[in-house]
Amino acid sequence: MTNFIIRRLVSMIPTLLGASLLVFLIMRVVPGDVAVTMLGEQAASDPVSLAKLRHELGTDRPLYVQYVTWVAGIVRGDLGTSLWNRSPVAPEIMRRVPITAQLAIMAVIFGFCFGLPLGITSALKRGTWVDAVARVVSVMFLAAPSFWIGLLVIMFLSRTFNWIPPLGYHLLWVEPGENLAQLIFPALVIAVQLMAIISRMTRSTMLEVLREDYIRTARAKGLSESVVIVRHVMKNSMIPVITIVSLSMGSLLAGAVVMERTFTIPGMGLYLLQSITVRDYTAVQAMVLMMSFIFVAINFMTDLTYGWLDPRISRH
Amino acid sequence: MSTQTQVAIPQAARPSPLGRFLKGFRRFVTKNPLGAVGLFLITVIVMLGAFGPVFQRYDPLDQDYTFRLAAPSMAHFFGTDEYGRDLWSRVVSGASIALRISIGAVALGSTLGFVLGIVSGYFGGFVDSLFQWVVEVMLSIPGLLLALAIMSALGPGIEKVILAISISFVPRALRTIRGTVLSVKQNVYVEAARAIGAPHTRIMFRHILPNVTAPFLIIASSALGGAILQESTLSFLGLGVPPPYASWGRMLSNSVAQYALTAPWMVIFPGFAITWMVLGFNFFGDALRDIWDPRLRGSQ
Repeated sequence: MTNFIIRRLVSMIPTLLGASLLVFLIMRVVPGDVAVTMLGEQAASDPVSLAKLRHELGTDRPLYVQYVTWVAGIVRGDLGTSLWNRSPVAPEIMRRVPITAQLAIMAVIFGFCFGLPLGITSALKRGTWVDAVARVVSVMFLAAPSFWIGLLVIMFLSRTFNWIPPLGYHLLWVEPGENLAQLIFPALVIAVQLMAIISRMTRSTMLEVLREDYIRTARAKGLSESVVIVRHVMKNSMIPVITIVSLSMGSLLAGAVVMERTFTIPGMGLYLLQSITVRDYTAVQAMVLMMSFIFVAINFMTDLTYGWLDPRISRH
Repeated sequence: MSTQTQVAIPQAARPSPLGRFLKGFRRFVTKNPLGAVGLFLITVIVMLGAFGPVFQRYDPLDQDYTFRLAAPSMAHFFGTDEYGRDLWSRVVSGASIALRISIGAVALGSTLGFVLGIVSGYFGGFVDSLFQWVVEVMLSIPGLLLALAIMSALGPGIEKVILAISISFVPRALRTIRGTVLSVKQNVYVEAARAIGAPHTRIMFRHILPNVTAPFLIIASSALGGAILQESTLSFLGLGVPPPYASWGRMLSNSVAQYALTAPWMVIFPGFAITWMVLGFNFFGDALRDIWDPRLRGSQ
C-alpha cells in the first residue's frame, strides 16, 4: 500500500511542474511590458526608474531564471509579491482558503445528499414518471449557467423575503448564523449542478450493476431487496460516482469563482477576479497555480481511496 | 449468328435524394425524440443568428430613455433594459455571437486535439509519452481558470475569447482520439499498408483518419454546450466579448443585478436563451452519440 502511495506521489510531480510551467508561460504572454504599465506612459520614458522597477520585479532576468526563482519560491512557501499592494500573496490566499473551502465542502455535501437518493430512486424506478422527472430536472440544471441560477435565487429571495446577500465574511464558529446565511445559497446552487451529475452517474452505474450475476445470486439466496441494494449494489456503484465527482472538483472550483462573484463572497475566487481586474499578474499566477494544486491533490486523494476500496487497483 | 437479346430488366424506381433524406430524418425523429427536440432548439438559434436583423424589431443599440425598464409587452417582447434598449432585439443579436464563438472554439480545439491525437497514437513511443504529459498538465488546470488566465494575459477581444475557450477542448479530444487510434492501428490493413511501404502520412490520412471521424464528431458536438457556457461565464465575469458585440453572459453581469428587482425580465430572458442553446446542443449531441457509438451511452 505504501508503495502505491509513493508511486502515485511521484507521478504527480511532473504534472505539477508542467502546470506551473504552463501558468508561468501564459502570464508571460502579456503584451507590453508590465513595468511600463505600472509606471504609466510618462514615468516610463525615464530609463532609470524603468530599469529600477524592472529589477525590482525581476523582469530584467532571462525567462528561465525567472521561472526557476518562482518555483523555488513556491517550494519555500513564497508565492510572490502582489503587484498591486506590494505585500506577499501567500498570506492573502491563506486567509481566503477557509472561505472557499467551506463553500466547496458544503456544496459537495449537499450535492451528495440530494444526488445519491435521486440517482438511486431513478435507477430503481426506471421508466416511471419519477425517473423521467429526475432526468429532466438534471438536464435542465446542467444546461443552465450557474450564475443565472444564482441571480434567479437572489431575485426570488429578495422579492419574497426581503433578503440581500450579506457583505463581509463571518467565521463559522464565531457567528454561525451569519456565516451560513451567506454561504448556504451559493453552496446550494453549486450543489444543484453537482447533484445532476451525481444522480445521472449513480443511475447509470446502478443499472449496470443491477444486471450483474451476483445480484441475481443475492436475491436467489433470499436476501431482502433493501439488503441487496445496500450491501451489494451500492458499494459496487460507488467507484465510478467517486471518479466523476473527483473530476468535477475542477469545475467546482471554477464554479466557486463564479458564485463568489455573484454573491460577493470574499474568497479565493473573488481575489482572483480582483487581481485580474487590476492586472496583478503575480497574484493571478499564484492563484491559478494554487487552485490547480488543490485539484491535483483532491484527485490524488481519490486515487488513494480507490486503492483502499478496491484492492485490485493498488496491486498493479 | 449469335443472337444476344438484351432483356431490359425493369429497375425499381429509386427514391430521389430528397425522399431518402426525409425518410432518414423521420427515422431519426422517431428513434431519438430528444435529439429531434435538440435539433429544433438549435435550428431556432441558427435562424436567429443567421437572419438576426430580420427578427429584431429595433436596433439593439438604440437607446430610448422614455421607455427605460419597461415590462414585456407587445411593443417590446422581452421588455427593455436600463438604457431603453429592446431586450428581444438584444437577445436575438446575441445568438450570432454565441454561435460564432462556440463553433469557432470547438472547431479549433477539437481539430487540434484530433490531429495531435492521431500523431500521438500512431507514432507512439517518446512522442506519445510527451503528449500524454501535456494532456495531464492541461487537464490539471480547471478549464475556466485556464481561460481566465489567458484572457487576463491577452486582454479583451473576440479572437482571444475563442482561443481561450478552445484550449480546454484540446486535451480531451487528444486523449479520446488517441485511444481510438491505438485500436485502429491493430487492424491488418494498417500492417499491410506499412508492409508495402506506404509513407506514414498516407497511412494516417487514408486508413486511420476515416475510422476516427465518428468519435471526433461525437466529441465536437458534445463540446458545443460547454463552449457556450464558458463563453457566457467569461462574459459575465467581464472577461468575455467586449462591447459592441452582444453577449448574453454580459447582459447578466453584475451591473444588471441592481436592476434585477425592478426589472426581472433583464435576468430571465438572456439566461433562458443560454439554457435553450446549451440544451439544444446537449440533446442533439447525445442523440448523435447514441447513433454512432451506443457503447458510450450512460457514461460522460
